[in-house]
Amino acid sequence: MAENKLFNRIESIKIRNISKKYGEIKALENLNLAIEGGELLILIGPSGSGKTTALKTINRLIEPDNGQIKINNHDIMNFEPVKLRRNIGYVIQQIGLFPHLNIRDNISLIPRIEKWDKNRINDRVEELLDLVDLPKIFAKRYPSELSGGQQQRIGLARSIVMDPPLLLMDEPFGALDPILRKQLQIEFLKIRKELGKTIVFVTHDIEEAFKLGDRIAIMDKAKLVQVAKPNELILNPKNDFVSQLVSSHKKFMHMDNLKVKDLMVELSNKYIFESSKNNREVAQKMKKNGIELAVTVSDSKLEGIANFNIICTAKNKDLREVTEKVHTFSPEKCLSEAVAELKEDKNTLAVVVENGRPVGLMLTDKLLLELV
Amino acid sequence: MEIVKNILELTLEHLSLAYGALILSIAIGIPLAIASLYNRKLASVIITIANLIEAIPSFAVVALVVPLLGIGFRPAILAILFRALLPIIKNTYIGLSNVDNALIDAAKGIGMTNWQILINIRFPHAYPPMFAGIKFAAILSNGIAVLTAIIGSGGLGKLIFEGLASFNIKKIFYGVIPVMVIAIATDYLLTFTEKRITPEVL
Ligand SMILES: Nc1ncnc2c1ncn2[C@@H]1O[C@H](COP(=O)(O)OP(=O)(O)OP(=O)(O)O)[C@@H](O)[C@H]1O
Ligand SMILES: [Mg+2]
Repeated sequence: MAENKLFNRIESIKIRNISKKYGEIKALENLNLAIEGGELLILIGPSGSGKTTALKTINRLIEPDNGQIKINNHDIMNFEPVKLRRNIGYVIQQIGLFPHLNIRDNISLIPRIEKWDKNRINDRVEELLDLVDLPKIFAKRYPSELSGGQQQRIGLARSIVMDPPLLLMDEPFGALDPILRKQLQIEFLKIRKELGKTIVFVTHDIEEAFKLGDRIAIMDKAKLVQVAKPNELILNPKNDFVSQLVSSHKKFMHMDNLKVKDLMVELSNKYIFESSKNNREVAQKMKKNGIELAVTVSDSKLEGIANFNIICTAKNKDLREVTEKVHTFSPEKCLSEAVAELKEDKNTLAVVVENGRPVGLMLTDKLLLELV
Repeated sequence: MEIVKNILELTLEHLSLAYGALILSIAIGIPLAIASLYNRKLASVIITIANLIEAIPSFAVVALVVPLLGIGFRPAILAILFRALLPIIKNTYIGLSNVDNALIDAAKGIGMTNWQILINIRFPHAYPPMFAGIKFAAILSNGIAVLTAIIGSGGLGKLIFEGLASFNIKKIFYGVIPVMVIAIATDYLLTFTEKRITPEVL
């Protein structure tokens, strides 16, 4: 397969002066952007600002009207598009798993086209399922049997099956429930460390941008407005548009004044389950609501949490038997202390409890951990 | 014995007429549907013609063939082909083109060629409408193959028309019963094949 690898690692991607018009509509206007090898670059901006268009020019799903893109100083127009795309992972919001193929075949479609032998394929599929934290038995299931979050994990697994050094992600968590989105972001950060890939990541969620990005490129009306490290955007916004976009994140700069309740996500009823419930019933409800975390209670008092995957693998048991202990905080606790405690325990999640009742969730993010 | 031999011969003739035309329609129709997928103009031309011809009664098509091509087995095959081709092209084209854009985007994005997308993604999605089209074409072929006896194609239609002309009820049944059996067997066979090759989850 060596001859199919166009590059072993990304040194640089240079986007030079590219524009794209659809009739009279300018989708992209003179975009200049240099992406460094190994970084996670966020593209953020309002709907229609050209994020998807910019992303798709990198794997040649869209050909710009003019300008040039170089990867490791090679003009990508000199690569055959299909070959280029097999060297670049691609994940989209709609996930795009093929409904008629099981998970194993979805992940291994390109390896099968490239005629890998069966053992190699099976090993790779198992390795990837493991990486995205799904049990091996999922290989035989069909996409429709999976929850939204599980499908998105498979979408990620499929995109990296050929071990591409570059990954393009277009709002991969955009369609997910807010709490599940935060969980997947944290998981993704872990995976990212293991992978060490260069990633271009589109979002229009500024919180997500700050949580994941090494640098953030802000787009508006088909143009790049500013590209900088997260903290720099807060300290030196280029114009009002940028300062407004990042304003919600200024509060992080004064964390000592914040309490747990300022950062927690409120827990709606759909997350809360009686621990005496049967797992089969719980799993069904969770899948319907698109969530992967159950907060279990008995008599409204917190018992712990349980994970969707584990609930699914123990369908004949009660929720109580798969419930795990969880870190708890009171809403009035000082945020920096709470985050420090979590960091020490290597935890990323805690339940906020008031009078014994669960009222919210705390999910730590990268920015917070860095600030403590 | 003579009559049994006669029925068998005419049944064979009917089968080669109806099935010959059907197989030809599939062999021509599916490539045309694929071609329309990559050529918008061709697609609109084919769909327009398909809708137009669907509006012409089968009997009129059979009659029209005579001044153009004369009478006999081959003109009859062409008359059937003409009618059977269109549901196949139309349904296959609709099936192939009605795949969610996000799926095609994902397929291209992971590095599949147009041909690989056609075989691995589009066709599995197109099987249900494609088979519906083929079944409809089979019903048409079977029916028109009876009609074409009028223009000298031979086959079971010959028995039926002779029976009708001479009020020979036995003869009518000798013709009609094999036609019905063929219709049912064809439907069964196609349903079976469809179930075999269509992915369960679709
Ligand atoms: N195939 C197309 N034909 C016509 N116009 C298009 C096409 N694709 C994109 N556009 C237009 O180009 C502009 C940029 O689109 P793009 O999809 O890049 O935006 P985006 O930033 O990704 O938006 P969103 O956040 O909604 O996904 C929009 O005005 C869009 O309507
Ligand atoms: Mg977009």
